[in-house]
Amino acid sequence: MSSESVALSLDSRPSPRPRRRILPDGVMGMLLFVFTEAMLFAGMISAFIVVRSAAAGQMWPPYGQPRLPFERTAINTSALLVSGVVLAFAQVAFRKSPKRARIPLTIAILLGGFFVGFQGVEWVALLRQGLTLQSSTYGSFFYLIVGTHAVHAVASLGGLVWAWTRLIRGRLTATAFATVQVFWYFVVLIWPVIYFRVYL
Amino acid sequence: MTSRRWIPVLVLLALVALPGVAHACPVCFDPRDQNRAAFVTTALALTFLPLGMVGGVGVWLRKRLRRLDAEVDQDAPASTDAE
Repeated sequence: MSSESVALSLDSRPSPRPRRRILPDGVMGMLLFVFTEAMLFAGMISAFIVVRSAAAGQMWPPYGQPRLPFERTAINTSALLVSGVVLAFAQVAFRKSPKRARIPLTIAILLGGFFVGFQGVEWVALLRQGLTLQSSTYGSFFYLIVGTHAVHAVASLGGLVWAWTRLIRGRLTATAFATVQVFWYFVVLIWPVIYFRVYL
Repeated sequence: MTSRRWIPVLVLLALVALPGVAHACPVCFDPRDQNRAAFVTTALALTFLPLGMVGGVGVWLRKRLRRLDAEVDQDAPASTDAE
């Protein structure tokens, strides 16, 4: 086959479809991270369920340990859930015009900050009542699970604040915003599972 | 020679029968129903959660890819038909 015929056959081949990006790399990476974190929480919650079931018929919370503030934490839970909804509104606004996302993103951050702050206040109250990491398996699991969630909430809140500062400077990209949102939605959606499993 | 042929069969039988007497599972014989149920439920949850997550994203990506393909086909010029 001559070089001319090779060139001709190459020219006649259908041009490949343009390479599309189904999902931004940042979002995909964050999704993979979130999956591993979901398994971490699933493992911890499973261990808690098994330990709690082993205490069936016995006193729960164990003798001398305070009851977790289920009712008060409902306020906290609501704030976190609302922050997730507001962040979704921020995303819709961002698509129309990035400037429009400023207010909903600020509200979402404030609600997230309220959640973390309220948790801190609750922890101080529980520590004063005698619930510590060493006081019982109940206390150990509580601080382990809720503490791990708090670490995630603080890190994710940091991501939202970072996004907010970039938004104010007009340098926030849609991919970066979507990436920090995925993390915050994870923090928001895993919390009701923890709340109903651990607090109730 | 014939006795050697029985060895794999005996090994297989032992493998099938041994777990029944090994009592390796610490909760299968737990008298507390609630504890047994908790173990089974959490084991199932931990088994199917990763499958569900990966499968869910896989299905979503496939749908998104098809939608993008459909959009590309729609946007493509109809020059080939004219030729």
